[in-house]
Amino acid sequence: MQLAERIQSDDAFKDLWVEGEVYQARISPAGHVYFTLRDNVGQLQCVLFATQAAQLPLTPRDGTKLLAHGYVELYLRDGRCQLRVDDLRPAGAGDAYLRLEALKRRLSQEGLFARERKRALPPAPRRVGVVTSPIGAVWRDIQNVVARRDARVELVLAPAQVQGVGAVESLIAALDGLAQLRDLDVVILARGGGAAEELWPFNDEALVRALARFPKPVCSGVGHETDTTLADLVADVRAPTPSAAAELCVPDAGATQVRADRAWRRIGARVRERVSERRRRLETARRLLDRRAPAVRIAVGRQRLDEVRRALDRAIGRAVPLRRSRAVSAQRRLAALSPLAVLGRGYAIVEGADGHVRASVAALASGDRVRLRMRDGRAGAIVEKVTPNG
Amino acid sequence: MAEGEVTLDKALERLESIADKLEDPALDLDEAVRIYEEGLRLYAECAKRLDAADLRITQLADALAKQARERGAI
Repeated sequence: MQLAERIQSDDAFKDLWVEGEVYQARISPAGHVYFTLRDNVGQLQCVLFATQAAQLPLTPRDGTKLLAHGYVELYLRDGRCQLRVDDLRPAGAGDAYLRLEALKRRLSQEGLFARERKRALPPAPRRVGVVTSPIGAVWRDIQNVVARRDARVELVLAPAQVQGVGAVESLIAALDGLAQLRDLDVVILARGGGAAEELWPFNDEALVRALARFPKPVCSGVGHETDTTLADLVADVRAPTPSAAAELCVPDAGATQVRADRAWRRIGARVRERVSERRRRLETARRLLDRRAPAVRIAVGRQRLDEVRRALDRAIGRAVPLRRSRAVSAQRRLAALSPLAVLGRGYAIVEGADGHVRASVAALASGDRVRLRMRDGRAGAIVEKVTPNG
Repeated sequence: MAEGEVTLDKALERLESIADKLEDPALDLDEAVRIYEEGLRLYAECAKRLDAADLRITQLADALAKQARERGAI
């Protein structure tokens, strides 16, 4: 069991290409194909399951030479190893595939395909370089896709021969030409689908290295979704097709604008909400301030002051007449007590020559000149005789 | 907002605490007048800042809309 896990988890037994002559091929009732690959040194049991067999153009037949791709697993029941096959190619192409695998391994060990090397595509490209054939559907498709997504993006075509003799040199020259351009944001390397052999230039080491050292991010869109070339592996982003590459490189301006506008509106609403919340608080505080303003206290104080003032006025208003009447009554009383009042009743007051009242006969002598004050006037008189009571 | 200046929120809090204080009937009149004056000053300051914030937001929104129109015109 541990051996089986060991074999199945070890990278050395995965992603293998094995070439040999088919013999003892048989098809099970379920459609699985069992066969043995052998060459002049040994042999290997192989199994091709029905689902995979249905997708492959080749069927293993005794006597044919094949190149099989798959991984080795330990078949526990019989205690032997077998190759679980997922791809088959004619043996004639074998050398080329094996060389490709060796190159792939070497470049991979060198780190050319490493995830850390991948550069992000620019979020809003303005100039996009395109390396592809100037004739054919690919260039037209890319133009259409880009025009539809963002008409402001400028496409710079670096025409290249994408298959046949000289294709690698042509592709590299096109890349070098684009590398000279300033303000280039990203480059699309594109080629339409074709037979596997037609994609060979995109597995060339020189092209892979040219792509690796290209100063701007590169997006590959070579062949169909199922074809993976070394150019795809070294590219910063791999798109399954040329159109997909154009879509990945050029964001949809309409959609981007809509999203940005929506985000902006949300931000605006939040900010406005913050301002109006504070404005509400401010107005509440203002109302409270008004209601509790010292003016109210002052008004209350003023009212009390007024009341005191009125009380004072009332008090003073009463004070004068009171005194007036008191003065009158006092004067009346005074008048009543006045000695002059007696004169009315027939009495007279005797005053000496000095003007002082003579209240006693002792103050008089015969011959004194005196004045008599009566009710209605004065009269001079001379004392004839003084007779004290007794 | 200039450095050292209190923030709008702080000013608003101070204004609210003044409103609370003024509710106290035992508060001395001189003190009441003093903090009322401060409250009025704070109110004017806060209102000014809120107006400025509103204006700034409107200006930014207008600028963006203008940019969008210009982009659309290309």
